[in-house]
Amino acid sequence: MSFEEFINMNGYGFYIWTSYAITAITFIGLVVMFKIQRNQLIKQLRKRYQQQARKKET
Amino acid sequence: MNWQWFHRLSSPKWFYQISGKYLPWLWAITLILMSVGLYQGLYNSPVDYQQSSTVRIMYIHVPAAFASMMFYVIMAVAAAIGYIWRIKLAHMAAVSIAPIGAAMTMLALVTGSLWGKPIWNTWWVWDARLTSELILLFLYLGFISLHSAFDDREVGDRAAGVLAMVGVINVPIIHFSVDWWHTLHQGATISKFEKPSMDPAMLTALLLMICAVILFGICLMLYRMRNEILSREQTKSWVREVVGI
Repeated sequence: MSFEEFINMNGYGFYIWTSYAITAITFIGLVVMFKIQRNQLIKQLRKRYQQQARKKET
Repeated sequence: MNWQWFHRLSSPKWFYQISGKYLPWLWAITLILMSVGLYQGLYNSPVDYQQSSTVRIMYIHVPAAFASMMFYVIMAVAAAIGYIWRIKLAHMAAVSIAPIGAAMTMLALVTGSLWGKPIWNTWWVWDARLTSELILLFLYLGFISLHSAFDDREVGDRAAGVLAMVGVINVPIIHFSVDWWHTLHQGATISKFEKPSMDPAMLTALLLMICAVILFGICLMLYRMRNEILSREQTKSWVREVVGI
């Protein structure tokens, strides 16, 4: 099977590759979304803990 | 009966530590399964005698649809455990898996639509299978928005939990819709009781992708639960240590 044939998928390439592309984008999107959520949360918690520590000192 | 293991399992701290230890391995297995499954599905399997190459959409459509129902059941069971025994970790599991299930439902609908256009000559029909799957999407979205509507997270847990439990009735309806009503959608091709009616190479690809997609969803759920734990247990000293202050 040549590369063109593989991409063409007997004329159904558009439907097949769009399906796979949307799936890939969704899966990667979920990972990135949760990763960003984690980074923001940790940043936020650090800030809060530092504020609390400062309050204790004063 | 000794219930100690149950309480240990429901301890957020213990869960955070153990999940952190095993998550990299789970991601690795997921990646391997998915690579082999994609190779098998896109390249190393034959085309269908009726549907030609469009059968390759099956290798994401069926896993996504299967995961969408399975994750709903997980969400409902977790919500029930949280509701009945007031286990915080169970509520965190339910909340964490909801967006993943919603994404899987969306994918099942979209890839189904992209499969339906060349084969059924329509993007969408209002038949039992498609409509009940769409209702599943609304149940997930309802759960997410209901949960976020409460300022008090624990009230939100319980309210959204009730919705999850009631909505579980939709899962068997989706499953049996192709038998109960006349529909464009084809019936089940793999079942526990009969020999599957497809080529072994197709079956291998399909089973690999089902395992890969489910494991991917589980990994995501665990990852998100770890966020949820840190956020909800932020007053505990062990969280301070994890965050690094």
